[in-house]
Amino acid sequence: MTTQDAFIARVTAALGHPSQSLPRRQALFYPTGRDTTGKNPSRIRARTPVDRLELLNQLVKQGKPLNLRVITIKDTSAAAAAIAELVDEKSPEWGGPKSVVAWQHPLIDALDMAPLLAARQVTYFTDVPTTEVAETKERATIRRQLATAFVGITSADYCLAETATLVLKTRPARARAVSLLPTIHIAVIELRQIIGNLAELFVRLKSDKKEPLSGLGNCLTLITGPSKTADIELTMVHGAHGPRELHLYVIAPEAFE
Amino acid sequence: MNTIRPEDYTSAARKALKDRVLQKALADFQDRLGKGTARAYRELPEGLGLRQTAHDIRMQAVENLDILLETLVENIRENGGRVIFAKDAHAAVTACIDIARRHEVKQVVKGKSMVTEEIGLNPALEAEGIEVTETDLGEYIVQLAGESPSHIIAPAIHKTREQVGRLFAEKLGIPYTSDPPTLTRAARKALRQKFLTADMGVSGCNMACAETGHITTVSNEGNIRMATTLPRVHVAFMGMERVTARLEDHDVLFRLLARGAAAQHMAGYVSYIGGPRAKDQVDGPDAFYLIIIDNGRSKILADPEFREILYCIRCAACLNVCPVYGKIGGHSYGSAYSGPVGAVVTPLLVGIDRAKDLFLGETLCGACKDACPVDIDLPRMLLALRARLVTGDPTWQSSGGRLGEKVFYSAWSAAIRNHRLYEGIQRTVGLTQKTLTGTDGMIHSLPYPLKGWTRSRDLKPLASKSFLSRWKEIQ
Repeated sequence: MTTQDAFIARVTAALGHPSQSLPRRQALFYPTGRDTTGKNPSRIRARTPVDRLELLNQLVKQGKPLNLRVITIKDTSAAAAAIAELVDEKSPEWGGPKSVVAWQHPLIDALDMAPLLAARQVTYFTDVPTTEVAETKERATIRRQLATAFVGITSADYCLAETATLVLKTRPARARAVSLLPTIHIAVIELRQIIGNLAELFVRLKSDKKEPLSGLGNCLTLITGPSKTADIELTMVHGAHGPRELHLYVIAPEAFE
Repeated sequence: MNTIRPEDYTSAARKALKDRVLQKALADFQDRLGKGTARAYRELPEGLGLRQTAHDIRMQAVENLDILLETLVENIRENGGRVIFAKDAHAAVTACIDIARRHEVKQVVKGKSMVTEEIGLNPALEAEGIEVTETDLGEYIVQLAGESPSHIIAPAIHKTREQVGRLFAEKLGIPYTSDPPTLTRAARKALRQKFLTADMGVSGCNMACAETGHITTVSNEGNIRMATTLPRVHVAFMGMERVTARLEDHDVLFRLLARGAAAQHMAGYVSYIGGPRAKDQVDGPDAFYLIIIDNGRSKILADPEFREILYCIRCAACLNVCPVYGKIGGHSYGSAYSGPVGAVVTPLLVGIDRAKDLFLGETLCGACKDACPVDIDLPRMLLALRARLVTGDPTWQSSGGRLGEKVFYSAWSAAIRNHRLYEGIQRTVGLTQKTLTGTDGMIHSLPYPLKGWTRSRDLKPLASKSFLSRWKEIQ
């Protein structure tokens, strides 16, 4: 008997079930092909622009007490200009020349930040290795860039209006540390990425047939506001270990019509 | 540190009561968080009833724990993670040391994890010559001070900003300040270096999801994300009951966890971790291990009266409302688990005789049950522990009540069934009590063997006429 078998057998016995009954009960507990969520994801997809703008309003409202700045913006070029200005305004927490690191992502690529930042003498990196299998050495270089960057730009998979929560899935060229190591985290999303709440998120993730593991991947992070702590006399301080500031740009031409 | 000492409950509690700084800190803390949580529950769209839903979710998980564990580890292994089952604290610590040796680990960064406190991981790693750094700000403060956490969520609430200022000036060599933002920044800077150079990150697990094969970590500071993203090895420890069946269970549980723990609508960071970095991903650990710990939990599972304590999601809401915790603080409970949950869990982990003061000290007022996000009936279990203490139960190392107590109650039981004898006692007491009654009309001290009863309470003397004799007069 392996350690695992002995361990599980102890649990089975403690629950008062006969030994050897596990496979049968497991099949009963997790019947395949049954939708246990009871909600239809198409209902989420069928949201009208008006519904979406309502969610955006909720997001802005929820973000305020969290110190999450939500900015509604017309298009990618306006977003890029606003971000460049923000980078200009802020200074690096740990000193040194200014550098910005970003995800490789269609929406972030469309911002075309590199020339805008170059004009301001700011270095711009993406977290993309040149080879398909990232070598240790190359990853170390990317990590150094991540640790020196004072601004990290990401998009998100979803944004939950009810709690002002960003949902970021780890993928190649979308490093986890971009939303973690820099002092300022800037996220750029489109209006259609805003959904209602956690329950809707789980429905979406579970119904995602294209990606394995019910759509979660090996690391999925939910981010609600900038990093914070209240460990000294319950005094709220932003920027304990993660970003001190979080700016969320929502590209919503609908809001300007 | 890390030694479980429930025997010192009374002396530690007495010390805490005299500590004015602690008394103020505890009062402020409970005033803000206890009330905040109650407010956050009221704002739930589903109402307070959601706590019963959460209770059912946890019950379903615990009642099917073997299925859930089997499913969880199948899924984690499929995604390249490694799983180790540890029967007890020793096995868990040994497994972690083996991993550290295999990966030539010299430096460990830790996210806050109660279960690693329970098994005494830090001293064991340090004995191997490995540097261990706690990275939650509160835990870091407590570690620098050489103390242990006094609250599950806010480990350093017993320290004032001035105390933290002096500690940081001494240990980090920064100029003295009592400004929380400046102190937080000093810790941020010191710990950032640790995160960037550590070889191994250690975390706990808030709630695993069996059907998808993920553990979850929750923090507001981002320290657990750092510890599970930057080092090459990630080792997660999970008490075996911390798993749920389905992803949608997490909707209810996370919303309630954030409310119970910190009166928030949602925790700052929640990460679902299912395995190591994929080859084409630039960051994340190369190796991911999950150590699942029994350490007495299967014994709790086997006892229907105490099984419910395994529903606990370690949010600390019960600490924030408990009138006893609010006066004696976390250190009195003598282990990582304090407050009402500690008063139930610790005796079950170390034995009833050793830890009896913990559940005898609680008031059974029921505030903990009302504050619990999963509606665990803590008062019922506190009472059940008292019953086991008296009746004796070798399973839980209870040798039974004291002889004197047994004799007294047997005699009492005989006396109240015999009318004449009962009245006789009443008369005798009525005559003798005059010498005991103080000028304020109260009895302050009873003679041996009843002295213990008046150690912390005054008694009203018996009325001069009994109810029955007055009843006869009225009629």
